Amino acid sequence: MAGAAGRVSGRPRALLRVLAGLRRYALPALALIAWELLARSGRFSPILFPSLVNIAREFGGLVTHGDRLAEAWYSLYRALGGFALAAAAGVLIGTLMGRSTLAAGLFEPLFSGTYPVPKIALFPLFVFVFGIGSLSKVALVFLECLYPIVINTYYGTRAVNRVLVWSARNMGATPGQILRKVVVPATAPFIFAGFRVALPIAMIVVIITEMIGSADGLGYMVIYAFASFQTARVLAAVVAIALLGLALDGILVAVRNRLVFWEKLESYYA
Amino acid sequence: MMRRAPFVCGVFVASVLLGAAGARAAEEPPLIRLGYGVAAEEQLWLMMARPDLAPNQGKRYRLKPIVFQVIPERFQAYVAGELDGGTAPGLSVIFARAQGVDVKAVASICQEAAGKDWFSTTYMAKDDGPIKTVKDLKGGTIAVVGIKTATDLWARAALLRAGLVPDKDVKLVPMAFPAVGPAVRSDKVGMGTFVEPFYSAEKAKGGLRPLFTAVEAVGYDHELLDLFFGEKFLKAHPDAVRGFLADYVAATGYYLANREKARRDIHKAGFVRTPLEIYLKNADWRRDFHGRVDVASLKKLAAFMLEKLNWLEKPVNVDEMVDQSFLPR
Amino acid sequence: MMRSVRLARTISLLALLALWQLLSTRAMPEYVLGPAEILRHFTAALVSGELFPHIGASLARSIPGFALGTSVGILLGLLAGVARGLDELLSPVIFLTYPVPKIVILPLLMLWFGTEDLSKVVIIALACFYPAFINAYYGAKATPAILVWSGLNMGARRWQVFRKVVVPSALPLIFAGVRVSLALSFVLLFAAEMINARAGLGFLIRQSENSLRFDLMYVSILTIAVLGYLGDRLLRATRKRVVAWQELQGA
Repeated sequence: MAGAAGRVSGRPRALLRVLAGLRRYALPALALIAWELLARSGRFSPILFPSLVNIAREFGGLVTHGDRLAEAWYSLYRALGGFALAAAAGVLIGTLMGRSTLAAGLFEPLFSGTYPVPKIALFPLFVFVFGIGSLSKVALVFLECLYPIVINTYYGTRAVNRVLVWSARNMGATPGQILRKVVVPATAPFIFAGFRVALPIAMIVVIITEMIGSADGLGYMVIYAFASFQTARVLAAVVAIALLGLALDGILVAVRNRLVFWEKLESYYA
Repeated sequence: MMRRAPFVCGVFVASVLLGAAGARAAEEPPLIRLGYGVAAEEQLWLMMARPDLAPNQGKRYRLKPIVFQVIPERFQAYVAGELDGGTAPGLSVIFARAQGVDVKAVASICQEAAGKDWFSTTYMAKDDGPIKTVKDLKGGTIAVVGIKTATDLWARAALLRAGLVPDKDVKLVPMAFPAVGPAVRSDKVGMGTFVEPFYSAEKAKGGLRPLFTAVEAVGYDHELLDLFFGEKFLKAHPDAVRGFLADYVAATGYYLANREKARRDIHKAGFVRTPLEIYLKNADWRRDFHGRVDVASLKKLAAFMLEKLNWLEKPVNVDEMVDQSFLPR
Repeated sequence: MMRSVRLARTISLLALLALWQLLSTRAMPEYVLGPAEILRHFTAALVSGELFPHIGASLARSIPGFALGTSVGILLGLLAGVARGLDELLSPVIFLTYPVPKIVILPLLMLWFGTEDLSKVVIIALACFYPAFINAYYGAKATPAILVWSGLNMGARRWQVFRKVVVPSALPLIFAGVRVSLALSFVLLFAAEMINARAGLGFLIRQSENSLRFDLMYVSILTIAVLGYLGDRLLRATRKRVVAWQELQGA
């Protein structure tokens, strides 16, 4: 890299740049190396510190064995099912609240008042009402995801620039056209912001409920492996859960960037 | 120079106190942190309810009992260094050893035995429900009390006998003992595991029908609960363990000879919540007078776990796992 | 205008409660209790004192966890927002692990730190760390550059600019993050207690579930709700005093 005025050129500069670029991987790499060293040192039982090799092996087993993959599927469809329901209901309620002060007056105190209440406390009750299977979990996911979606949609609908609506009306647009071509696109970024908050919540709630009382799912797999002293398998399940969460967020961002194409979102995980 | 005086005094006082504390600690008998449970452990409860039956306590050992609702937690607490020993099904000890947990079974608490004199853990379903035989459970759930424990094993054994595949045909849900009755009654699960004192309490309420017992599921009498200790603790404090076990065997003898009085004492101390009249009438598991472990049955269970259940990856040396040298002669 | 809004809110709330009470008097499954009944059980439990040990046990875990996680999160977040080196070091890892449900690590923490309170404090701290960090990070990054430049121009050193410009300007976002942390601390607390505990409100809910004591279950839920509500109010009051110069719009 010769030439730039006053700069030191040559290999040291390029090397430094490469190192600086790798800085983001420094912490995880260090942590992984330290872990493996501790695991192999023999000072701790493999139950406390399983080797990364074993964890990787268990993870491989997870993605290749059909019955274990099925557990991941259970968790996924519970999370997505509850999320989808919350998305549909939430956007509806939020838009309603944004357009009608009556609806806002009715619903807003309900949502903001119960926001600080940890709804997870209701889960044992839900199990009584909905049974021990997927329904109780989907119901809790629905309840928890509803809040961010409703709140974000509500603020988004309110924030639609009046000028846009007026100019559209001025140009002769029907209420239906105004809704489709002005309100929805203007609210879309807010709605997706709500989705982006709600999606990790859906995963979290599913895992928690599966850890508390379940016979299947990734959360159950964690508890089962833990009771069987297979800590490597516990961590493999943790990795699977993490990857699932990342994948879902990635898909959501991709979908959003296609629909809200005028305002691209930077991914957290560049 | 004057400013240093308080500091020096402080150091002096601290070291005196530390020395005194150290000396006192050396005098005090070793502390046994013992994890115990909520079912079938009458002799241990008696030891705690009637310290007069445990004369070595305070002299050869000190006891810190910690209650756990489920079995796996006890081993987890042990691995985390919170317990020195505890109670657990013999087969759970086998399983834990296979996974590298360094514990040994030192005495027997109770056994599953056939015969009308003894109680055997019973699996019940709703009387007016669709489950009449084990085969009817297909597609349903069974409530067990802990993963990879005795109740888990018995359920699986029964399912295998009926030609069903555990986890695929029938799911097993873990829940605490007290929750099983309500779960079956409210159709949360198709069938549940019942041990005393919960069995009698539920039987008195009616509406549940027994389907099979643990002994029937496995096919032979076998060891149920054992006392385990960590290997390191056994090496470090053999006298404390011997003192504890001497008291334990004495309490066992007293319990078997004076069952009603013993149960009253246990109930009064709050270890059992079932109403007293029902508790007094409960049938009991078989308990060995001397706390001797039925090693042969454990070997059969180990083979079962290895071959039929795939719980073990390789055979476990049960002889090495059981160390009865700490029991009184 | 404000007063009529508040009136409308109270009316709608009371109407809902009345509806609930009415429904509960009809034939309902045994797990449905009316608000009057729940309130009765609640006051009885308060008076008898059986709630306090559990409240104490729960708070003893959540408060240290919340305090630890939030303060470390805010500090690191602010620093990462201003120092590029730290940013590149920390942010990728933190944003990557953000969507992972922290509760799944609880079994591992139980093996490392024991089955008692320490493992729960750690996991609550871990969960509270993330929203605090992320919000402090974005808050610091969003400091208007012109304020920073003026500060530097007037001869302030970097530390002073940090303390007097960056931190105050990031405060609104920080408080938003702390609010999320507070809510999360409760969620993790009760989830951890429901999975494994011997005392505390989450444990109480599970115990009442096990013995079919719905009165106790509702009482625990109500207690948790009250605690959550009080905590949030406390936070709001603190925020009002600290961020006094910013006009807040009832977030």
